[in-house]
Amino acid sequence: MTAYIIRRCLYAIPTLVGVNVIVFALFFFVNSPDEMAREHSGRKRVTPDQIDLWKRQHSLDLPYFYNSGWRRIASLTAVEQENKAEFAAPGAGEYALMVEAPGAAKEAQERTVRLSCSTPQRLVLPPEFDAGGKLTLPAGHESRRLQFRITPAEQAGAEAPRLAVELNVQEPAPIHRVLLECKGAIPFWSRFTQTIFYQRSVKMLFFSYGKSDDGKDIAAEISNRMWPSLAIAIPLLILGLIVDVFFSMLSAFYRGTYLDRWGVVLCVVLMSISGLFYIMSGQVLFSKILCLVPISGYEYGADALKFIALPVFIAVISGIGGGVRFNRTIFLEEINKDYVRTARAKGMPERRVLFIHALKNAMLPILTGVVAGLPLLFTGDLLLESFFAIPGMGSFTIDALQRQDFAVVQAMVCLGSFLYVVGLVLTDISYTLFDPRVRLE
Amino acid sequence: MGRDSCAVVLVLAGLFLLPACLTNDPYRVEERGKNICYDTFVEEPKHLDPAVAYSADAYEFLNQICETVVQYHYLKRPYTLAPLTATDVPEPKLYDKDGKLLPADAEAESVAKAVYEIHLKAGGRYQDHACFARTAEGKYRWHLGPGQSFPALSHPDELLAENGDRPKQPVSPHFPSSRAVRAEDYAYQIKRLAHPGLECPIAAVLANYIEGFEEFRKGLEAELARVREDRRLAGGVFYNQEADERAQPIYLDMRQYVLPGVQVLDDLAYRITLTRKYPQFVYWLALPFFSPLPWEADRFYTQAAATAQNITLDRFPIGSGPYVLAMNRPNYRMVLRRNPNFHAETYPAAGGPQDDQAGLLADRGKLLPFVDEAVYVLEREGVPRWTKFLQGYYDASGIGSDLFDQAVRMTTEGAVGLTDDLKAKNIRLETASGVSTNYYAFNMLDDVVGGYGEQKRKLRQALSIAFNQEEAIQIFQNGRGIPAQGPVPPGIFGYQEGKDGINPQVYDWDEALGQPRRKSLDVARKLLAEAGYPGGRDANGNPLVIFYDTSASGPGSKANLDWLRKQFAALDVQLQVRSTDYNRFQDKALKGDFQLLSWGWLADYPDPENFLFLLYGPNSKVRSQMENAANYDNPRFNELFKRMENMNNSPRRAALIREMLALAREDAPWIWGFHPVEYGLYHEWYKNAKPMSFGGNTLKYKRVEPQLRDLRRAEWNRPVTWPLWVALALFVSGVIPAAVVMYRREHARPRAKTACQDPEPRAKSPEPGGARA
Repeated sequence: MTAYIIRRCLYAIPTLVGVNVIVFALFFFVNSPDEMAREHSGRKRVTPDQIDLWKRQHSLDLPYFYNSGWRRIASLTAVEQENKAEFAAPGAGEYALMVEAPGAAKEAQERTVRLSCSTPQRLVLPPEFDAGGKLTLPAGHESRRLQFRITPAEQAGAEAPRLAVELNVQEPAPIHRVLLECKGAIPFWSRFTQTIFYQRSVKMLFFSYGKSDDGKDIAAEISNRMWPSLAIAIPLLILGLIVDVFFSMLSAFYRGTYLDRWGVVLCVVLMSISGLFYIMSGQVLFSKILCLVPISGYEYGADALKFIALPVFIAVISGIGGGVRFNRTIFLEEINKDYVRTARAKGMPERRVLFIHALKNAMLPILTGVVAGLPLLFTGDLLLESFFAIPGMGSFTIDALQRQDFAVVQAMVCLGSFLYVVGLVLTDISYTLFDPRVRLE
Repeated sequence: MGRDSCAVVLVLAGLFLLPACLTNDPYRVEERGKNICYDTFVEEPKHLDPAVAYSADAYEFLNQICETVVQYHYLKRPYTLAPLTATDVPEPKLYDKDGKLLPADAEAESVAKAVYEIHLKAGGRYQDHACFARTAEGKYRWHLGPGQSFPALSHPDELLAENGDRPKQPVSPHFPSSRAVRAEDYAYQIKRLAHPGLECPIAAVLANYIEGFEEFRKGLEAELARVREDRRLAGGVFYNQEADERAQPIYLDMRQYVLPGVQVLDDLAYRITLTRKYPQFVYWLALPFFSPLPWEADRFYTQAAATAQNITLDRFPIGSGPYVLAMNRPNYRMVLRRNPNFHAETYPAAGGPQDDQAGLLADRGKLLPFVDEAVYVLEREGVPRWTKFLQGYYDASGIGSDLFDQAVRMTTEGAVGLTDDLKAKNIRLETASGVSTNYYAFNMLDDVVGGYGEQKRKLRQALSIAFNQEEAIQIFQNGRGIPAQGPVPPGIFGYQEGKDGINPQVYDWDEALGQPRRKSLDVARKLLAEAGYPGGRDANGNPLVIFYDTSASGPGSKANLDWLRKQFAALDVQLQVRSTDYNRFQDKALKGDFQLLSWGWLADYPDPENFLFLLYGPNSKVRSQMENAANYDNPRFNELFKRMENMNNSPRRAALIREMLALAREDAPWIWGFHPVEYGLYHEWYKNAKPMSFGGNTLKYKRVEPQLRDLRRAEWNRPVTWPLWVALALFVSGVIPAAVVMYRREHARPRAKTACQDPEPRAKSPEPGGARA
């Protein structure tokens, strides 16, 4: 059995890696880092410079999967009609000049960029530039990236060259920018580690969740929120199980009588009512009209009881319909098995047959279903928690999605898939415990 | 049998005792009678660092904690500034480029320098905080080196706690855990606004004004980039920036860097130098961006020991204000508690004309604050929040649209009043027109709706007339709005009441009623025909289709969108709605890929410039990613804006604004929407409540009467327990038929075989539930 469990755990690894890659890809397919930055930097007055800053802050300025060594060394924003800046170039090598343009082509204006170097003979420009190092971009141009080179110095010990960039526009605006990039040497492995994927995604596999995009520690957040969620989920699981099993056994016991028939009808009715209706009417009845429990809220410690009583009660009631019908079919199937017939034939009262013999065996599929869901209990119930203002996990992921907080989404999906795998392994193990016929090899 | 009866007795006893502890009071018993006020919050504030926070929900807390040099007067309207920690509202001294002093009303072009000298009142002290705590040797107790750590904390104040399970910390009595506020702390905070790691949302604005701000920011950025690059190189191949900066935060001590525009003169005076005239600057000074921050706090929060436990300035702000943030559990509760170190401040002695009558001056001259503690409870859903307010568990409430009919009744004359239910509870209603505007912008770069020709203008005017704001406000806002006559809302300089203030393109003045009357659809149809679309069709007979972009989607907004379509359909113009999420919507606006969109603007400060700049050409969204979503660009308007922008309020400025409004109304780049009006409800025990759109450090003025509140709560929330007994009786009586059936079955078995055979075929018959098994 140990070998089997180890094998199962090993199978889990590719699954988790796959989930990790897919979440990353999906999120960045629909969302560019620029959009994330805009969402996070507050919605008023966001300049391209601020977006770059945010990206750098959250290591989102890196390439997605493969870093070829290009990195930004300087940027120049058009504050005036004529803008000039000087930078020390890191040395000989490949460089690139990027001229950014506004999104709407027809609003773009003619821009000129002039590039010069303190040692002009070392600067090798592409043919787009004229002899004076001037580049003219006509109106309506999209952004443009041009590569150039600085050749090695002729004598050793020469001073590092200085690059001067001039940007001329008709109307200054922060969207007109010139960016300078240079290609530096990069160790082989760093090409893969200095990427967004490595920096933000790979660590999730090792349960290191880091900070959310607005700077809150994800692991701390989860451990804060999981207890209120569990305070609802565990009583709900136990009570729900007891109530469902009890009523489904009654239904099976009275199968064929009017009690059973009307019971099933009632279950269908209960199933058909929306969960929201239970919550709202429960709140109005018990808190507003009868004034028996608080309508919403939470308190840590023993005081939690008065806050969780109503949500648990409501969740049990709203789950009865489905639960009873599901369990009832399991019981009915069990009742028709040979050993039950034998027991009956031997003259055992129906009560004993059902509550002693059939119950034990019918619990097997019910319990395995429960075990598979155990690890995910702490993820909470969105509807219950938001209506009863329970400070739990229910809305954690959804809120993060709305805020475009990739770190949290990624962490929750990875954690969720891990727990799901754990749940499945636990189910397998629980089979061997509940059913002696099953052996894992 | 004996054991069973014992259990029955226990259960019955429990049932009798149960009603005694049943109550819908969501608070602890020991909170009763305390001087606490209760409010709610919907979402956790994203940031509480005063250099980063820039949203109403964050300011609700931050304004009570951090103090600025000036504040908005609590009672006076229109909004006026009053000194808070400064001795008076700072007035700039203007200099030309030769350093010659200019008069206050000098032309903006001639001004090369505007100097604000700010003198602070003595007596300001910070809240007690671990960052100030020192050992007997005078060393900072909690400024730790790398590798050292705190005990496990949920709040930094726990480091000051001397009892409980935590051992007493060796803090010297010679060094109290607080200190006086000094001018250098204000300077420190202004420098932090340039900190590249903080992403201050107004850094770009300040860079235009404060002397040397941009170079300072660039310098810090280079410094930060250098440190990061070094670490990346030293960290090797598997370097992870996020993990590294968590273990070893980069601390830039702002005292080491010089920002030329901010000079500290002495402990109680500092000077801010702007490179141009900017009268609105003083409004910025009223925002927490310009509150003081002690360097000790920055040092304290920028260490691994704190950040590793999520103890950051962004969650636990520090200040000298009337309250301290005693609890921050954003998915549960936020608690503000009275700051014992708060300096003496008194309730305003005078207010507006109606304030005395409304009882807002009963506390004049009394020491602030009144309330000991303010508890903010997370409440995401409207119904529980509203119910708790009606039960007396929250002191104040807004009114959601879906609950509006339960709270407010319109009289036939159009006046608003409360429903009888609420009147019976002595609840008060206060209304205040907010300083925001909701608008529909045409894309002036679009081939169909944009452009400045006579025909294009008429098209936009026709559509503006068709769009019946009055009806929209009645249907979708429950009447809580004022139809806009231009971008400037009431209460802001430049807004005109009455006949002269109406938009003559859309309204006529109704002398009889004394109010504006929307022009008829016939006028709109005529304009549309003149625009080249008679009957909504162009020269080739094709119908005019206009695309409307909105971030509103889902069933909730369907009614609104249908209504919009109907408005345009009245002119036989088709409206095609394109709903997308907010991201895509923003993207379309940035790219200019839209014809008509709806947006809103909430003012930063009460100055017309803050609204008119939404139509200033160079602020075009497409061209410069600024806030002019319509991309409206009228040279004359731009010129007037440049002149009006930096002027002090005067008749000349009013005249300029009038001319600008006339131009904008004529061009109609927006369908002028409406200015929302806010409604607030207050319980009778909640005193001194006056809605305020700017500022918001209002908690200190509020007063509650806990005894009255307890009385009312008990009166309104009497538990009703008899239905529980009925339910129990019903359950018991449900057992009887079950027992009867069981009895029959067990005793009938030998006689009737059918009873036993009956279930078999039923069980085998397939049923939906079985399929799931």
